[in-house]
Amino acid sequence: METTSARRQIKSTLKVIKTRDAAYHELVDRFGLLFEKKEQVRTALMAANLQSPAVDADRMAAGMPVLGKENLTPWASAFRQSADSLLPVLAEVLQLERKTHRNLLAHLDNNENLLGLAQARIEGNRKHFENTSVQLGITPRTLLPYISEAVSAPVFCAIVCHLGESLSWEYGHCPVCGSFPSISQLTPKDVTDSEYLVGGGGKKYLHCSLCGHDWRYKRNACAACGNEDSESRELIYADGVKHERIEVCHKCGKYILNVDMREYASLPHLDTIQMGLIHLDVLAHERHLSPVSPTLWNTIN
Amino acid sequence: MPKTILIDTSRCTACRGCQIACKEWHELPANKTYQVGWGSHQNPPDLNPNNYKLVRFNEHLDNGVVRWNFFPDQCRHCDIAPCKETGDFYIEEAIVQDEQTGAILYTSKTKDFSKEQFEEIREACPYDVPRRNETTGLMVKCTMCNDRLHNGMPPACVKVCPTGAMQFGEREDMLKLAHSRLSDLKKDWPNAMLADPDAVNVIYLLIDKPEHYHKYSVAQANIGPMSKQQFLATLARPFKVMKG
Repeated sequence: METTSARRQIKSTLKVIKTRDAAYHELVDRFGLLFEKKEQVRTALMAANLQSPAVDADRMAAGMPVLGKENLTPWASAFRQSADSLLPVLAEVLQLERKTHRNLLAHLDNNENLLGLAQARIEGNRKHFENTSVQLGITPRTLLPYISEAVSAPVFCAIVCHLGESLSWEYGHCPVCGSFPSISQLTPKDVTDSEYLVGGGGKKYLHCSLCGHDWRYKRNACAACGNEDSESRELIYADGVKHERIEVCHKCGKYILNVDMREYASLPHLDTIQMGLIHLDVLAHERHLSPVSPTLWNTIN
Repeated sequence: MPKTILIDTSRCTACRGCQIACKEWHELPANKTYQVGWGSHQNPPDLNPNNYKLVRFNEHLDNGVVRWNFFPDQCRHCDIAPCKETGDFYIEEAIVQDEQTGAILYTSKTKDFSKEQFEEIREACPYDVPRRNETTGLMVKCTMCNDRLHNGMPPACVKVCPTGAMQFGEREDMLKLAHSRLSDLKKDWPNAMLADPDAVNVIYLLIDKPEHYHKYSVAQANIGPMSKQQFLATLARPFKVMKG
C-alpha cells in the first residue's frame, strides 16, 4: 500500500470524494481548503514541541482520559495561533453572516473564552455551547461546536501526537481527551517483525472526533455501549461498497461509520473521508439511528 | 500519472494467492489441470483465457545449489503497448489505454479480430501475454483490475499478497521503492535488476538472470535480427517522444 504524508492523504481523499457525485463535488470545493488549512496549523504546532500532558496510569485504569480535568492554560498560545489562522477560513467556508462573524471574533479574541469552549468540548458541556450560541446569535446550534472543534482539533492533535499507542485502554471514548469517536477503521496491512510476511491488518481502531487519536477497540463491540451481542448488531452498506459501512447497535440505537483500510489503494484521511460518507449517514438517519458522535456531516438535515 | 504495480520476486513464495484472487475477482472458470508428465508445480502450464495471472516456477543449478525462482506473470501494461499499436492497424480502439490508470484494456471489439490478426497482435507483445477465448473470440489478459482502481481499491492480486511481494501505487512512488529495494538486494544478489522499468507499468524486480525466471521476463531486445515486436516498438518511438 501507499504511504503518504497527512497533507497528501487529505488531497487524495478530497479528490476521491469529488468524483463521487455532483453534491460531493460542491462540498469538496467548499470545505477542501479548511481540511488543508487545519493540517497546516497542526504541522506548525507539532514542530513547536508543545508540552505533553502527564499520564496518570491509575486514573486511566478507572476510565478517566488523560486530559479529563487538565487545565488548558499552558497551551493558550497554541489555541490562539490556531484561532487566528482558522477563523478567517471558517468564516469563508461556513459563509457566516457579517454580524455573526463580528460577534464570534470579538468573543474569541478573549483567550479565556477561547479556552472555555475547548474545555467545554472535552468535558462534553453542551449547555455552555448552547448558552454561548444564544449570546452570540449563532444558528444552527451545531455551528458553534463545529467552529470550536475546528479551532481546537489541531492543538489537541499536536498535544497528543507524542503519546502514541502506549496507552492501555478498553473504553469507547478517547483515552486522551474523552471525546467519542467519529469513525472507526479496520487497519491496513502492516509491517511485522518477520521480513517475509506482511501483517493481515483488520484490527479495529476508533478515531477520536476531536484530537484524532486512534485506539484499539474490540472488533465485535459497539463503541457507544460496549454491546457484544451479534444478534443486536448489524452492518449496513450501500451500492455493494462493503468496505465503507455503518456499524449499527440496535441495543442503544447508535451507529458509527467504519472503513476497511485493507480495501483502499490509497489510504484515506480519516477526518476527511467522513465528508464523503454522508450517503451512509442519510441511510442511518432514515432508520432512526443516531451517531455515536455528532459531527457537521452526520447532523446535516 | 499512471498507476504501477511493483513485483519484488525476492519476496515471492509462490503461494499463488495472487493467481487465485485474480480468478475470483474476474469470476473465471476452472481449468482442467494435470501434473503427470509435466513435472512442475506451475499450474496451469501457461496463461490462458481462464488465467490472466500465473505464477511461473523455474529451477536451475547455480554452483551446485538449486535455485528455485518464482515469477507471477501478467500483462505489463506497457506505456506504449505494441498490442494496441498493432491492433489499431486493423480495428481502431479495439484495444484501449485508460489514461487515468495507464491500464491497457481489451474491449468487446477484439472479438472482430480474425485469428490471424490475433496471432499478429500476440507476436507483437514482447512478453507473450495476449490470449484469445476460442468460444467467444474475445481477447483477454490482466486488466490491472481497472474497475477496482476506479473505485479507489487496489488490484485484487496486490491486496491478497501476504509477503509484500506486490506493491501498488503512483508510478513515481513505485519507481522510488523499486530503486531503493534494488540497491538493498544488489549487496547479496549482484545480478539483481528491474525489468524494463521505463517502458512498463508492471515492474518486476529480479534477483537472478532474467532467463532463470521465464523466457519473457524481460522484453526480447538485442537478440539477433530485428523481430516484429522490436520493429513495432521502433514505430511506436515517435509517439513516445510526443507523449513526453
